[in-house]
Amino acid sequence: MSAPLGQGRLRLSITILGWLCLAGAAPLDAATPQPAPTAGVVVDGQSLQPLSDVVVSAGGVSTVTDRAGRFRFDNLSGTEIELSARRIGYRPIVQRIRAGDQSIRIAMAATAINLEEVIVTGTPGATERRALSNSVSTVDVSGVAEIAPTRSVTDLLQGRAAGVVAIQPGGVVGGGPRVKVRGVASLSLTDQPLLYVDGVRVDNTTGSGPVGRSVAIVSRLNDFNPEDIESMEIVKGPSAATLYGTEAANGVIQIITKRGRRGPRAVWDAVTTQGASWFANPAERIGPGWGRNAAGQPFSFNFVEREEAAGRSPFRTGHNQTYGLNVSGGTDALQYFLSGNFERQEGIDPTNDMRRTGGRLNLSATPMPSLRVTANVGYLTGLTNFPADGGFGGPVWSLIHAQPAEADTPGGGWIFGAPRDWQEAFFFSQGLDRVTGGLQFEHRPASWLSQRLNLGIDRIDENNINLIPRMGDRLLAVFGGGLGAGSKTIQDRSARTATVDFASTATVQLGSIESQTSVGLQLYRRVESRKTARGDAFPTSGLEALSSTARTSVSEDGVINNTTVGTFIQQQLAWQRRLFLTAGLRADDNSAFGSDFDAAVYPKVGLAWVVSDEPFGPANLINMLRLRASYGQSGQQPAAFAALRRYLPTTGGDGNPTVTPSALGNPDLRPERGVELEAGFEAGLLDERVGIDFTWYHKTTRDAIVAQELAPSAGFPGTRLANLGKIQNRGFELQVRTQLIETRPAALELMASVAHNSDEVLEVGNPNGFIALGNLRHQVGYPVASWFGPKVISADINANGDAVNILCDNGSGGGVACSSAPAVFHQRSLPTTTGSLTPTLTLFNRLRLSAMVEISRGRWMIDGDMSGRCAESSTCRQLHEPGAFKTTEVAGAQMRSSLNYALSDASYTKLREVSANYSLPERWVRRLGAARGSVTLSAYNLGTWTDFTGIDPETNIAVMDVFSATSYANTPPLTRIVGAVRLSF
Amino acid sequence: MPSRRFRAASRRGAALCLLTATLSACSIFDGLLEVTSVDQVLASDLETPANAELLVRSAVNDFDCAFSNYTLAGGLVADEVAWGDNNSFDYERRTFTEVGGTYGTAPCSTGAGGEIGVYASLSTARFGNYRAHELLTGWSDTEVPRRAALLAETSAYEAYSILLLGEAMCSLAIDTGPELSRPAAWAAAEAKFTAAIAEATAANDPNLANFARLGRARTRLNLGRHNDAAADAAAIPAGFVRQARFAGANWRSTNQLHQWIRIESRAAVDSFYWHLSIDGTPDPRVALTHTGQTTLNGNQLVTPNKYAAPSSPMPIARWAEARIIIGEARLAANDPTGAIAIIDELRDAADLPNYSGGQTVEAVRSALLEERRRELFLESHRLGDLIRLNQPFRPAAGTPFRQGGSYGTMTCFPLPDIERRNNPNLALR
Repeated sequence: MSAPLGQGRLRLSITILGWLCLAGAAPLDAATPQPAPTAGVVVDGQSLQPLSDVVVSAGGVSTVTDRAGRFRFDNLSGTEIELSARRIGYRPIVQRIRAGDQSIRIAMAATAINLEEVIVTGTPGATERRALSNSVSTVDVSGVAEIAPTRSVTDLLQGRAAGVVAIQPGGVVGGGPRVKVRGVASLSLTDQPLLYVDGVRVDNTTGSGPVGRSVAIVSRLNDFNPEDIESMEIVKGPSAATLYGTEAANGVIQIITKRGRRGPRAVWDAVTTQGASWFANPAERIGPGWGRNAAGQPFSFNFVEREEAAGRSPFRTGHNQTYGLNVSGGTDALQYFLSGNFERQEGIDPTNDMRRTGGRLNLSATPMPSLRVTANVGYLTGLTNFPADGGFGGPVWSLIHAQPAEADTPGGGWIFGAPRDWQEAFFFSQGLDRVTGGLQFEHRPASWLSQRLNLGIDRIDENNINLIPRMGDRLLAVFGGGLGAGSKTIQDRSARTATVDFASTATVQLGSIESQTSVGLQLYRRVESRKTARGDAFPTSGLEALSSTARTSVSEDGVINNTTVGTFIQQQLAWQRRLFLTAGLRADDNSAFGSDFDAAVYPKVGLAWVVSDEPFGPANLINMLRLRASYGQSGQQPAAFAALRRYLPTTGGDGNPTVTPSALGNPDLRPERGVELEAGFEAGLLDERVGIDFTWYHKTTRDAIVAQELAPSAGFPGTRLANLGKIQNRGFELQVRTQLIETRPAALELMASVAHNSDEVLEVGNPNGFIALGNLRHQVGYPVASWFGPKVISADINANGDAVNILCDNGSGGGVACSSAPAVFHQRSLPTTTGSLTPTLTLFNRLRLSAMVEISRGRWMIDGDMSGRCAESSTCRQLHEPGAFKTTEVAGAQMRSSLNYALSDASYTKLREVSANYSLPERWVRRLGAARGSVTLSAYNLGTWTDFTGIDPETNIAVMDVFSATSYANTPPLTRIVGAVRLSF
Repeated sequence: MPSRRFRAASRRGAALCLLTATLSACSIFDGLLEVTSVDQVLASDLETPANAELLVRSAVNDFDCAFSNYTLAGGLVADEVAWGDNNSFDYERRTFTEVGGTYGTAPCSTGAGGEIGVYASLSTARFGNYRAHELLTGWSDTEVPRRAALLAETSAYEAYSILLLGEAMCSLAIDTGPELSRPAAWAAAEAKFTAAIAEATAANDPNLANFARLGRARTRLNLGRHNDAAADAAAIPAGFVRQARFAGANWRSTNQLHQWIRIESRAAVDSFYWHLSIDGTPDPRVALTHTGQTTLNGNQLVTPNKYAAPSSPMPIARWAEARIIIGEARLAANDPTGAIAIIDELRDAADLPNYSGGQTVEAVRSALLEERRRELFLESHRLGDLIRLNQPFRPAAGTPFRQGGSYGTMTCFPLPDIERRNNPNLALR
């Protein structure tokens, strides 16, 4: 976020103005021949983007780069002179130049740690990173987009923010992951972090989409165009998110969109990307099915190979294209940023594509020196068509379940439809309209007082459709009469999220101590309505309207509303800008709290100390060192209405309206409370060539809300939410950024990050000591959502290949018949360790080569492809060649106990991204009338190293569920290659 | 010493804090925090005198739904319904267990999941009537027209809920109370029926009084008090019937025997009831349709004519039941002749030949129970009768089940583990 009113920026401006005045006051000798101007551009050494506000000095004269990073000296004399460039956040650079050279290109390396970076904290005014007592990850989106075109916000997060884990649904175009920050903080509520765009809270629903498994995979986080985003900040834990209050226990993601900047003329940026995506090596990854030939001998058959050889590959190469244009600029009084974009993505399934059109207008006005008004509005409209995929069925499912023993029959071995049958029979789509708007007033009525008012609204209208047209004879024979008659389900979801956020900060200087007192008042209101209507049986083919079905019904017509009203007070004391003590208190009331619970109060306290600014100074090796520690709390409110006793309207026996008990409610219900202690440091070493950012945290979720079973005799069905659980997450995040080579022709930077999280269920509030979610359990003493079930510990295989003498773990080290065996721990299902390694080589300040390797460890998933083959179609190898497997696995397969043969280590190392970016020489782009330009060639998902037995460890059949760890016939993340051209005018 | 400017700033800051705190505490936010639901009714909005009729109608409707579900479940466990689909294997095979059985957890409204609830749905019906009665007791006649009749109605339906819980379950709990044996449950039901009779009499509602009276008779029969049962049954006038009603508008309001058998082909009438006749005359009380179609698992789809429509009502209590209770009481009193008279009464009503069998007590008892099986076919009695009369379940335990495993030994439904885990008055096993 730009902060023209910030003190640091103000001081800089005064300095610059002073230099400019001095420069302007220099006498000119009209008789002296004027030397040729000396000019050039300053760019960021990492992104090669132009840098503005760089103070460039040469020959005793200084100037400041403009928005395009340009500088110019009109009267430098001599042949070779020394030029220096300085900018906050970058290491000073000095280099020899030739006077009169007009194509100077200076690449500045960012300091490994930038303490002056302004961070969004929830309080008004600018807060520099040096004052923060907790870790906030920043993703420089505009820089990333410049060098490697990204499709979505979640692509930007993945691998770029330590401690942020994306659980992907697979590679279907339009799908988006669940995002988990520092593990899982709840057993029952959402795991998604809060999402803000320019200070406005917006919908962050995951698992949106047409009704059903494997198609409800949309993440609303991906509605925001990366080309419109300047940066993102990830506030990770309760200690940092205290001021965000109830709902912030999962962390907060702040999206800061681009702003216009004052300049002599408008700057136009145009970008287009063209690319292709495909399913890499499907024959090997889907693998063969197994069967028996006429002689009873086992054999394998690869249906993908057969289809490809016959020219019937079920998968296509998708064409992906984006077009974007934006213009920005402004005067001192008004700045603007206006953008428009169109995107079309094709998936590998012919029924999968996405078309989206969006735009954004950001205006910033300064009607009076003390007031700055910013208005933002973003709009997105689009249509996404989804394929049948995953556990629902679809081409991959069809290939997995095909029967080798029937491959040569007229039916081709397809047991429930060939791939093309699925592509012709099922259609899923989501239409979307989304408007996000905000109005921000930043007011500084006095030098010591600043206040801010944010008003915002986020409006989403989804139209989700499942359509099965009436089938012709061929499809009818495959799918049967029930499906064949056709059906249509329409689910309209609309969500409105309103933000009213006022905060004020008073700053006073008390000797060497600066005091900042902030108070705030927030109102967030969310109204979500869902309407679902279904129609069955079209009388003839060709009909698609709900009204043309034989039977229609409305199954849902509800509205959920939720309101949070909160206030905070925060006091920060800064001693000589190097020791910062912050304490705060947040109080919230929420409409979902029980009537017997008044308000939630969350405290925070933190300390930050810039040791290297102390008089004893930095050590030889360590140039910069900042220590920080914080303690804080935040919460997560229960679902709307959860506290209330409710009855459901229904039809009485005489046709009159009646009601029936639906939920007991819980008047004592209160929010979950995340309590976190965090400590860490940032250090700059070796002249700030090496930056280390380390954070350790210990987070406990108290009063975790669990679905408490109800004794049926009480009269209310099901469960009720109660504050009975307790979870613990512990871990660390380490990020190292180092400049290995720094010469003019070549610079090599290496960024590495690793995060480790260890979680444990401490309490669940029932005498069993666990909450079961199928084979997953939240069991006290074990990681959240661990795999539990009978575990085969020994078995023999007889001459017929049958598993005999099967014994299961009796829970205390012995063996017992599996029919009476207890459920024991197998593995965890959530990743423990994630990380990335990003080397970047810059050559001649123009060519940038970069890569990203990403790792994930500790997650175990069910390979549903294997268990489907074993348990549903009997085509897994375990059943036909038992000698190739452990006897326990064969026993598991024969028992159809997926935990005993299909539970697989989903750890992976992926070559996520390789990119080459070339900044076009200015003389080339001038011919196009442009000021600068670049071309980029990027490739994604080029390689995966994993022991996972399924198609890909980054797939999930039910991403709408918080705790889902099963891959089953999912389209994997696609291999993509993208070319991009950018021009600025 | 702080400067004047600082003191002014402090005052202004303090005023701002105070203002913010005041605003946050202000009652205007209460209004903002109020939530409304357009698709569910909050208890605070529902439980008012103006909704008394709705509350009672709703509680009765919960009973009707639970009754329909129990009749289906009991029919599967006993011998009235067979060839169930995957959802009902454990009922039909008699292998349900207290761990995770849907009979213990499925509410009446589940429907589409194909689960058949017994314990939870009957408990909900009990609670609804109990709660309505409790509220009515606190309201005045001025506030609630027909209050006396509504009190009687809720008492009667609560009593019926407990009665059926006692017949279905091996043991049970009421409102998270201690574990009750079947006789203890019936004793509680009897007390409720007695109260209902008194309330119906006070409300001058003889039909309701007879409903409660016949319920008490059934309860007393379960308790083995034949004479007391017969005394109540004797008061039931000819033609009396109280039925569970179904609008057929959705799953919940549909007769579940019709839903499962006719609409969804999930099960069929057991062959034990096919082609029943008396001396060559087809028995109209067990009229069936052999559709020529098959159930989901490929067996003959035979449907009961008495539930031919989604809205077909199901008798809860009726005159014939009262007569059979009297017949059983007469046999208990060693009066086979009197029991034969009852059999003939029932057959006359169905245009069937009169009884022509043996005259011994045992022969007549056998005939009377056969009469009961047919007369009360698919009316919720069969499972309770098999247990009460200690009659064999068919097929016998150990017989291979057509789709795996073999028939088990369960008869009544054990107290589900979900009740044990969450009822503070019960001990975990």
